[in-house]
Amino acid sequence: MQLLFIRHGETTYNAQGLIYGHAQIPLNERGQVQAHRLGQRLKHQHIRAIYSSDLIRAMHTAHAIVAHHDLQLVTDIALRELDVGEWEHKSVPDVQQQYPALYQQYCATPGELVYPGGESHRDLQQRVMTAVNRYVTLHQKDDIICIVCHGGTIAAIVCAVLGLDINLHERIRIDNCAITTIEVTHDAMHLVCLNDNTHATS
Amino acid sequence: MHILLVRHGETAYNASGHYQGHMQISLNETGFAQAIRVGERLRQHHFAAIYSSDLLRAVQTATAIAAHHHQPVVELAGFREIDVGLWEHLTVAEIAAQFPTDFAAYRVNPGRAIYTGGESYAQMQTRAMQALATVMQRHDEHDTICITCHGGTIRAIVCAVLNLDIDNYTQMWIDNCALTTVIHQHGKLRLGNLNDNAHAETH
Repeated sequence: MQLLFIRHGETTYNAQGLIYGHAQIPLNERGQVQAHRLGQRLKHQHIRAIYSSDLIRAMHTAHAIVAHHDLQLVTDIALRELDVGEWEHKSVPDVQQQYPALYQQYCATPGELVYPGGESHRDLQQRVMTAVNRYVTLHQKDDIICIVCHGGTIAAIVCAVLGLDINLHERIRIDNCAITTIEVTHDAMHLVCLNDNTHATS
Repeated sequence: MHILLVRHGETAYNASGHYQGHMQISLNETGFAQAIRVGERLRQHHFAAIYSSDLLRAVQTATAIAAHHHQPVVELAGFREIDVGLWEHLTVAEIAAQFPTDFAAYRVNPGRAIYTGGESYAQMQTRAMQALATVMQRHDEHDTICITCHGGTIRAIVCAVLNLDIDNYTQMWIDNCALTTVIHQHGKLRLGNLNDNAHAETH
């Protein structure tokens, strides 16, 4: 079974470098183009099912894939981005100034810090892997499954698959609308492709 | 700096599942076609230099890339595949039958077990990272460099970049002529992508 994890297209917050988790920010013009190209790239794939985070940026991206397939989009709250709590809508310099101690903790252990009023990347990893393991039980061994979600979410999944400490999640780059592929065989998971973004330039 | 790691194209031993290590084995017909495709994919890139493992299959792949860039291929033995010692020419089933103790040790610690008469992944990682440090010193932050090498070598470099235990190299896969990118920025290494093989797609 192949699980294709796809990060949503660009939003104004991505372009401006603002922190956001569960905020409802739509794709910007560039993000819509990225989603369209992604849809073109995947239109010949035999996708068996498509799951998406229920946040609007992920759903809009998923719609660009669904447009080429006879598939019902299944949304799942468990695929949401990290809940960044009080840091929602803030820039990194704002956070540094307003939460100096917590920001230092984040830099030291970026996987473990519980965002004020939110969750940690470790919490995120647990909820999203529970969802992914459930999808695996619902499908057959030759199926291709699309899962549209978020940069933090995908990095947390990649850490789990590789056995990489979640505190090192920032070493993994996930671009808007890039494809990351996990192969599932006999209950084992392997990373077979990370951040394939070829369709962004072609 | 962007460091583009390219695995060599297919050889007859890749196709038949035999270990090859430091053997001098040529690309097969499929491998040459893969090398031409990856060369075409990378023709628009501006490489500050093109490096390669000095093993034939890697040099042949690098040559197909360099053809579009009017650049020499700089060979470095440090980027060679793991030395598989006495496991050369053998399949996994043959290794398990002929070297049961060493193979059992390998299954427990795939990164640290020494291939009979060869080296371990950890030892190979040390020399590959030394070679990488040597070439990185020659370039600046804005350069892109290309290094053609091997599936084991690329996974060992990725483990070092991520700070992932070398025993976990088996959790990832690298296809023939696929691209893997390491980004060096502000003194830190990150993984930009892994096993991007989009140029092999047929439609």
